[in-house]
Amino acid sequence: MMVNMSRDKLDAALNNNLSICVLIGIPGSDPDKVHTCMDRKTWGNKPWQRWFIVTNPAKLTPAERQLWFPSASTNYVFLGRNTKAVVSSGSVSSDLRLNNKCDYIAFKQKFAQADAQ
Amino acid sequence: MKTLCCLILVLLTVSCAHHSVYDEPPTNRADKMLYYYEQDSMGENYAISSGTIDPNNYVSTRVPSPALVDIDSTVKIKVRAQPDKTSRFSDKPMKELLDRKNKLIVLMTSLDELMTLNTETLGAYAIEPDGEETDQLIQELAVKTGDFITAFMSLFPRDSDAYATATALVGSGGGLGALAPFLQMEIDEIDQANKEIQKAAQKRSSTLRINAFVDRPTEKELSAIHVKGYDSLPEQKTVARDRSGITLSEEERVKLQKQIKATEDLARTLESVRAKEITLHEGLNEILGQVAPDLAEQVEKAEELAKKITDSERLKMVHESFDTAIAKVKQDGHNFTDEQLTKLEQLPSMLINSLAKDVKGVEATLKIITDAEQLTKAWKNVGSVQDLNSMAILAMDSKQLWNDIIYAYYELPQWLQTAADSTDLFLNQEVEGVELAAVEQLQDLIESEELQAVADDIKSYYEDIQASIEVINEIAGILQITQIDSTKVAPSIPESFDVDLENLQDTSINLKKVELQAGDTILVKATLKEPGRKPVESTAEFKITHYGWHARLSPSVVLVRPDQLASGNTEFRFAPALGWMHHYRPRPSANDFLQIVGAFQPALGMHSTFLNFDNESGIGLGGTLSFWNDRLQFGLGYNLSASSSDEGEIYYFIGSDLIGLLQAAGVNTN
Repeated sequence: MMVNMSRDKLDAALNNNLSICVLIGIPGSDPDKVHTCMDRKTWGNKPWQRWFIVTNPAKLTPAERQLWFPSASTNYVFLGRNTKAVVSSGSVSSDLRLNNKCDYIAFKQKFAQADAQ
Repeated sequence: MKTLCCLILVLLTVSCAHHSVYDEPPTNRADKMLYYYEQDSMGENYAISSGTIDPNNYVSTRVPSPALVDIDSTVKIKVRAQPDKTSRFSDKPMKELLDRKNKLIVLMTSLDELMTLNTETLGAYAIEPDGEETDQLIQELAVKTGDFITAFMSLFPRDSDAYATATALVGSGGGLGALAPFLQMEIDEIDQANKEIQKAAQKRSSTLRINAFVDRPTEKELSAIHVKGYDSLPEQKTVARDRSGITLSEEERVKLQKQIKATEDLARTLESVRAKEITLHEGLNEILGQVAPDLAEQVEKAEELAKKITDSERLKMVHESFDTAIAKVKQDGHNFTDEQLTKLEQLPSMLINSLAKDVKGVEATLKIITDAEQLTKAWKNVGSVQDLNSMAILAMDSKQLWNDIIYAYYELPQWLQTAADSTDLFLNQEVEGVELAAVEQLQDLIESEELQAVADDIKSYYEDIQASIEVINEIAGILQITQIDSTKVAPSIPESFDVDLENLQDTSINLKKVELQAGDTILVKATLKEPGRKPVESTAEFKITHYGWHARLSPSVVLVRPDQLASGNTEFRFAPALGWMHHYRPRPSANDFLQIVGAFQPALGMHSTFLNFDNESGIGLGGTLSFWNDRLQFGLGYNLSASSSDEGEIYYFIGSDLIGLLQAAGVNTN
């Protein structure tokens, strides 16, 4: 899901027992590509897992921006299903992309870590 | 028959002494790898591959060829690897592959469990998304998924091609479940790689194969026996053997009965000669028929056949008949070309030459068997059995004849030696071949009555040659000439396998578990295969004997004499006797006294004998002392039928185990 004009769905996810992946980037960027891959849902995603691409950073609160994306190179974050704490974050290009393709095993791994918390 | 006399005497002159023989020093690497020693039924060890056993250093200094071993002992084999360091195969790649395969199998199992848990969790979530149990299941699934991926990435690092393939599979459908066929494929590839490594390893590694066989004098082929750790042949049960010689198998009982019968006949005939009821020559002919009837029959056949096939008149007549037939064909005005006529005229000579060539090999052997004129003359010179000088000359000549027969047999072409099975086919082909040659040129001629008669003559000639070959083979079989050749072909044993030098183990052959008789030979053949070298073979031979005490029933012919007889006729007379002789054979390691005693091959026992003193039959019982394996016997006994001392109550004798001697010489008297 894209967070551009509204963050209602993001908020809904944050208020429920759902593991969340938040990506930030402009259309056509690696985060956007990862988001597209996740949207295909052929990688065996679980019903308690959600993913968002934030194309308008203004929709995030300053605290969220500070906590989830503390540096320019950090463009993804996985939040714990129960705790909503940051479980993992980093660069999509290095962690979730491989040879210019999506790394689905990495998706599974990051979400598993988020599911456990 | 006169020739048969010579043949039998030849056999009587053959020595039967046995002792261990060794090849020293070991000549090749395979010889040096194997150290043999014997362990008797009491657990005592006796050196074979060296003078003494050094338990800290089994170094082979000689190869048994053959060594005498007791029939109830165990041949122990210490196998010492002497691998070439440079050629030793490292199994590290195989171990790594095996380790990886095991990890993959574990991964497959955990993936399977993960998929089951996944299904269960999704089911629970669909029913109660926020339930406590669902939460626990999600937690568990998360942990196990994380563990699985960590384990997966330890085998397939993220920068590997396999990981890229795997992650693409996960994305293309099915999630982590899509990795199951991927993992299976990886396992299959490892198996294949492992096979290839093993193949390469087999080529590169040094191996040893050990096979063991029993060589029985009475059998034409070797029989394989189990060598633990080197073949998968079944282990046999312990064979019941009776060293007292009294418990006989059915086969042994029948054999003994035949020997007793032959001994009785022999004694009767000899007694007739002594009493001048028949001449010595007649008596000997009779004796030879009694002790070796098969041999007598075959030699008689050989004499007849030799006359027939060496008859120069017969070949000449065939030649003339052929010439006549051809002349008649020409006279009848057949329309032959000049070339055909030339070939036609050459045909008789061609055929006769072909016949003469085949006859030559057979004739030479038959001639040696039948043409023993010198020996026959020598026989005539033996006026009486007391003529020891003539006997000695005769023995020497006879020994030469024996050697000639063996030599002639081996000089025969291979096809003649084995002709008993294939001669029929071979000779028929020969005759047909000649006929076909004629058919091509002379269709009419071949159908003519005259030529058919010639063809029949030739066929009959070939049949005689064939019969001669069969006789030669029969004689070779009876004299056991084939046994002289120690290189019987060892059959291949599908159950045996090559053992890598790193996995060699000591082994043994328990003779108690092998059907054996004294005189049999155990052959142990070892083949060492090293990369880049020709296979090296080592053969060790063990002759089966009885060490220590053993007894057997021994029929013998004796010259018996009563101590006193009312008629005063106390001269020696022939009689059959049956002894239960207890033999003692000391081991080579025994003390000097026992060695000296052992050299005489002594035996002590009791006997019963059929007596006939002054036409009064009786049965005697007494003791016997024998030397040289019962060849020379001395006995003293009591005549149970006598009622007083002047009826031959006490008797004594000197005798010999003639049947045993014949067997030792190789004549099959069974």
